[in-house]
Amino acid sequence: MNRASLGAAMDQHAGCRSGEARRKPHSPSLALVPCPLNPTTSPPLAALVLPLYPVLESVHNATMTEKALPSRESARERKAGLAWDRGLRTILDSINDGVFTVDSEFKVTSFNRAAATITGTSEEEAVGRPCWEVFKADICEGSCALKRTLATGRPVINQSVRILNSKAQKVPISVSTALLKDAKGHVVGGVETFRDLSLVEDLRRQVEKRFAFQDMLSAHHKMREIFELLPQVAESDCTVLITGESGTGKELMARALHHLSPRASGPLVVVNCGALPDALLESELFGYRAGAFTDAKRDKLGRLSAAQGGTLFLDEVGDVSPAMQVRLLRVLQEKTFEPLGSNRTLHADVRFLAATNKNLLAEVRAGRFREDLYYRLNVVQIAIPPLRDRREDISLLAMHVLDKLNHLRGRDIQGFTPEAMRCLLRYPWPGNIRELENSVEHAFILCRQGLVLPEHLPAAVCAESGPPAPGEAPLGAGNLREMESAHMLSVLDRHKGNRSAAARELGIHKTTLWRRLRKGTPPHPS
Amino acid sequence: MLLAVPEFHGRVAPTFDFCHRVTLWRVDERGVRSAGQRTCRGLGPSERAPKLQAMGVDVLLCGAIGKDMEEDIRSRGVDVVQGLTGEVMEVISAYRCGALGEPRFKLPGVDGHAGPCAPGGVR
Repeated sequence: MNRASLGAAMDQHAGCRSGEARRKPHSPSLALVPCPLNPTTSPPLAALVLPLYPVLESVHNATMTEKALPSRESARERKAGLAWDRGLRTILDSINDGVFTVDSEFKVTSFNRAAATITGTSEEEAVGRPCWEVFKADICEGSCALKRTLATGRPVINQSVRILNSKAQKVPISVSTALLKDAKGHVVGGVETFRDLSLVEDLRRQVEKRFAFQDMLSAHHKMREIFELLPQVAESDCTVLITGESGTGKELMARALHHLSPRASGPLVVVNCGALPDALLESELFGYRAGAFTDAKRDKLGRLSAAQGGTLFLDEVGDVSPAMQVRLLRVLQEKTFEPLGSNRTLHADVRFLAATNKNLLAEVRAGRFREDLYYRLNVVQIAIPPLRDRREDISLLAMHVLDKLNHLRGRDIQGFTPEAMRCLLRYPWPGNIRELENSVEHAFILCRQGLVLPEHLPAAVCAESGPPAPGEAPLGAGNLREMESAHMLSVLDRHKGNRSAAARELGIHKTTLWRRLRKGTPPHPS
Repeated sequence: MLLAVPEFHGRVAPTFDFCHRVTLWRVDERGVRSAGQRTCRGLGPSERAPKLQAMGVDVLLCGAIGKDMEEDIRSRGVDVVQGLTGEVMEVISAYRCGALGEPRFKLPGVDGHAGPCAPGGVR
C-alpha cells in the first residue's frame, strides 16, 4: 500500500488536526490509555489506534494488491515490503483492540488477533465474508457504522455496540471507523477498530454496587457520609427528621432506616400528613371508636396502632396544622395516645421518623410550627442534598434507572449518547431524582434500540441551557458553518446515512447537502 | 409446518437477537410457500420469543442466537436450528432434505452449528 495516502484516513479519524501522526507514519507508537469507567466519556479509541492507520492501510493493500505489485519493482524492494508487512502484522496482532478492514463491498480483508478473540471468529473464517456475518452486532442491520462512514466520509468514534460472540453471549464493545484510501485518494474500503467493554461494564456494576446503600445510590461525599452514619442512627430508637427537596428520596431514606433498625421485622407505616385534611389525619393516625362521630359505625384502628412494634413515618410533617401539632407532640413526648371517642390511653410502641421539604426552623421562626415539636422531631437530622448539588450522581442514577427498566421490560437499551448525557448533566433537575427517573423512562419509551439520543429525552431537559460542565465547550460554539454542518450531520445520522432522506427533511437537494457538508468539514491540518 | 427465517439482504440474518425482519414459510407435502414476513425491529429480547410463539412458528432457522433467547424460544415449543448462513431459499431447501450440515451453511464464529442431523423432510 502506498504509505503516502495514509494521512487522509488518519486526519479524518477523530477530527485529528495536528497532522503529527501523519508526519510519522513509520513509527507507530502504542500509547497506554487509562481505562475509562464510563464508555460515554471515554477518550476516543483513536487515541490508541490512530497511529496504526498507516499500518492498516498497508495490510489492507498488501492483501488486496499482493499479486499486482509492479513488475519493475526490484526484488530488494519486494523483500523490504514483505518484511514491512510482516512487521505491521505483528504490531496489529500485539494490540488488545480488535481491528479489521473491509473492501467497498463490506467483505472482510484483514482481521487481527484481538478481533478473533473478541468475536470468537478466526481470521481464516472471517476474511472474504461479509462483515455483518462476522461481526454479528446490533447495528449491522440498521445503522452500520462502516456504512455511514463510507457514505459520509466521516469517521464514527466510540459508538457503543453489542455483539454476539461464539459462546452466544452478548459482549458490549465500542467501535470506531474510518475510510481507507489508495494512493490516488480513492476510497477502497473502511477500517473498524473495536474495544471489548465487558471489563468496563463489570467495573460500572461494581462501582454502582459500591455506591449503593439499601435502595439508594450515590457517589456524592455528603450522601456517602449519610450512608456511613445510617446504621448507627438506625440502631438507636431516636426520632429522625429527614429534610430535603421534593423528589430527593426522603421516603427511601426512611425505609433504609427502618430496614436497618431492630424494628425491621415490624411494620413500616407511612402517613402523608400533607395529603390529608386535619380531621381525617387525626382519625387516620389515632383511630376511632364506634360512635365517635357520624358514620363511625365500628371501631377503627389508626396508623399508630398499625405501626406497633415497627416504625411510623410522618411524611410532609411541616404541613401539619397547629392543632394537630399539639397532638403529635404529646405522642412523641409520652408515647401514648387516645383514639377518637375513647377515654382509654394506649401506649405507642413505635419509632418515629419524619420528613419535610420545608425549612422547619424558618417555619418555627415564622410562628407556623411549634418550637417544642421541632426539637422533639429534630433529635437527629438527615439533610439530603438536591440532585443539582450532586452532579456526579446524575449519570450513575440515569444508568441505574435504565438498567432497571431494561430488566423490568425485557429490553436492551444500552445507554446514553454523549449528547444525551450532556443534556442530563446540564439540566438543573428541580424535581430531583423523581424527575430524573421520569425523564429516563420517557426516553426509554421513545428509544426503540441502541442508545438514548437527546431527542428521546423530554423537551424541557434538552431545551434547558444551563451552564456548561467544567471543561466543556458551550453548545453552539464555533461559527455558523460548523453549526450548520453539525445539524446536517445529526439529520444524516438520524436517517442512517441516507442522503436523500436527510436532504428531504432539511428541505434541500441532496447534492446541496453533500456540497455544504464538504464545505463544513474542518479544514485539512496541512 | 411453519418455518421462520430471519432475513437480511436475501440471506439468513446474522443474529436473530438483533434482526429486523423475519420471513415465514409454510412447508407441507405440496412444497414451500411464503407466509409473509413480520418486522421485529425494535423488539426487545423478551418480546421476540413470544412473538414467534404467537405466530405459530414450529421451527426457527437462524444464524447466531443468544443462549437465553434460544432457551426461551425452545421453552415455548419452537424448535431452533441455529448457526446458519446462506440464501434463505437455499437454507430452507437444505433443511427439507437434511443437508444443513454442509460447511457452506455454517455461519463463522458460532459454536453448535446445526450439524448433519438437522431435521430433514417435511414433518
